[in-house]
Amino acid sequence: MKACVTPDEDTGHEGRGGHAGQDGHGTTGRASGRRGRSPRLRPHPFGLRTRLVLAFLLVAAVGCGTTAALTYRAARNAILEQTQDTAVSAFREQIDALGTTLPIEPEMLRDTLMMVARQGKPRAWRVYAEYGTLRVSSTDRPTSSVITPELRARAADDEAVPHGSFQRVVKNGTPYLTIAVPAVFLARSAEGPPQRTGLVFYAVMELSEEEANIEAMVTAARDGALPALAVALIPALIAARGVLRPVRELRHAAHSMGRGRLDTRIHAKGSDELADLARTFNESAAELERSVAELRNAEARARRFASDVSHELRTPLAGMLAVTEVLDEDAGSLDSDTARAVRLISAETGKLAVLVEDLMEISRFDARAAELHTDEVDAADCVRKTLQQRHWTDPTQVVPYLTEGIRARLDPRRFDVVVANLVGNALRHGEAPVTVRLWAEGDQLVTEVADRGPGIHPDVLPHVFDRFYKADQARTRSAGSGLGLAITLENVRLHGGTVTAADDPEGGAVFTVRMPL
Amino acid sequence: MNSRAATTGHRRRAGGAAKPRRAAAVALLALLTPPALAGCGIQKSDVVEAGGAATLHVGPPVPEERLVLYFVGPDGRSMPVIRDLGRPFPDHTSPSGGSGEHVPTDVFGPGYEISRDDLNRGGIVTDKILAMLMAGPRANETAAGITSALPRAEGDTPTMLQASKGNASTGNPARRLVWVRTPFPVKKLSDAGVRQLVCTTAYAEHPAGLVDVSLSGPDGILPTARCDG
Repeated sequence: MKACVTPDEDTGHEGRGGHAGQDGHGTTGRASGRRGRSPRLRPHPFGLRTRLVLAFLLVAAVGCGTTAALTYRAARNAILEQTQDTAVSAFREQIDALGTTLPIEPEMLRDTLMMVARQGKPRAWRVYAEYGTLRVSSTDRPTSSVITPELRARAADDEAVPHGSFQRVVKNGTPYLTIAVPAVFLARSAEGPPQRTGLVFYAVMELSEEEANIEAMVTAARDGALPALAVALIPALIAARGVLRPVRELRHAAHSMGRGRLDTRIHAKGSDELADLARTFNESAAELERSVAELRNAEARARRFASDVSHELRTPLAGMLAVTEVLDEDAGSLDSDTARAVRLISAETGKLAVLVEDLMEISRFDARAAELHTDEVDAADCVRKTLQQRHWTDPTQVVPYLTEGIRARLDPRRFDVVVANLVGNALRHGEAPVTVRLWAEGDQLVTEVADRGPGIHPDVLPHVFDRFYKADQARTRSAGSGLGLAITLENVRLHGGTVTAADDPEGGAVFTVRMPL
Repeated sequence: MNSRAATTGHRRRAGGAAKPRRAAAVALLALLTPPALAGCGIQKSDVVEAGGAATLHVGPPVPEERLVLYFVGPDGRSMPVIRDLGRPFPDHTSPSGGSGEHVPTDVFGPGYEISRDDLNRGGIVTDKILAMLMAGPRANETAAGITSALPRAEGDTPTMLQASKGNASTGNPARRLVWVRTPFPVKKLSDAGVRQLVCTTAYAEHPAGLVDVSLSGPDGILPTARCDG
């Protein structure tokens, strides 16, 4: 353990050359902190890949579906036509060979029909005959409910030349082929037109085998279409990959640029729109990099100027301080007017020296040249030493409530500056007594400085840590440099902690510093 | 205020643009799906004509030895029946050329017999056949729903008046015209009845029925008709 001492103030010359490097470090550090919550690979339920794949599949499905449907229709019609033609011509041939009497004799005709029914082509059929009011059939039912009135009307139509006809009927889910053939005869000689007999033959055939064949074709079409869809998935994925890879590169590059790596470029190849986009991105990135570099240079120049000015002022000020000290000592022997003037000069010179020191300190922060020299110290000890050194030992002015024995890793000098600035600020702008509390909360060291003053106006609250910010615009001159709280903030940040200003509901301002132990 | 209205309007328009696109996609799918689904299986069809009618062998008797009478079916359409020349005692072996064969006379008495020779000659035999038509269908024909659209015969029967000259064997347009006189008014006859008379007369006069028939009754004359077509 090392005793907590306030080290000598360092000179601001260190690390001036390391601006750029420190700068880069700082940026990278902050960005790496941000990387954790950046949206890296958000899932896209309807992203490009999904849409492309869906589009491919849709096109493939339409293609397969149309082809399959057309093939299926053609094949189905072919199957049905063949069956129908075979059945109709076979039926007519068999009727042609029949002999009957007029009027018919039902028993004889029934035997004939039984014979015809056995010779169904291409498959077994049921045969019916209708003559006047007579109904004869090859089955035990005289007529069939499958035969439609339209077919009957067409078969019996005596306006036109008699002709055979067929009709497909679906009854109770079973498809049937119904054929009607009207019978004609040659009345008295082979010459002359055949005359209708009034006898009409019907055949009813189930098409279940054709239906099975057609079902098989549907199955085949489906089994052919599904693999085609699966195959279509491959070019879809390849195309999606071709589009998505540049997009992913672009996203990575944009993300990388957002993290401050302005030299990020995309490998733009090809001549498509995505390559154009990549080139545009590269151009924009180059432009951005140039602008940012310019800005940084300008900023660095401005900082260096402030730093240089402070340094240049420091040496003459040191001399002036020495002179004013001597003059102060001799002021008693001078006449009163001269003595007042000498004391004024002495006081203002002292303030100027403080201002220059503060300026130099803040410019070190700006240049990120401020370094943390951490040490394990007793926190209460540090605060006590700070108060003693500033001679804030009057209990009516400053009241410390310090939790003893807290070991913290911190830069003792910077911690001293933090406490001193806050207490000094409270004494200057608030009312005594100022209370300083110190305690540990979890893995944080909490330092709280509260005064009994009027508190901070809500309008001012967001700006208390700004540089040269005057709470009262009318009060142009203040006892402090105007940089105290800004330096406090920078020092706390350097420790990785936070400082907040708030109003105590009971009156007075409360500054709370939280630093990791 | 104004700008906010403009923004919402814009947003609404953007949403509206996305919706029609989706609707269009759905419509496309809906358009493409039905042909694939509706065409499945075997559909019922309309009545389709396929080929001609079947020609039956009707008989017995052989075509040359039969009488064709036209009656009417239950649906009002023509139904021809065939009657035998010589039942119940057919004698094809008779050397006299079948002069002794008799057609059942139904309600008519002797003198209405038709011999095979008579049938081939035409002429007077047609009157006898028409008388047979007027007598109506027999029991086995009535059982099949066959009726007659002609008035029942009471006394006189239709008679063939005269036949114009023509060449029957060549089957050429110059047909014979046959005049038939009926004792009942012809203008009141139904189409089916007219057809009964015309076709029966035609097949009585000509083996292939290729004659023109003109009916005349007490009330006037009907236009010339033919049985075929």
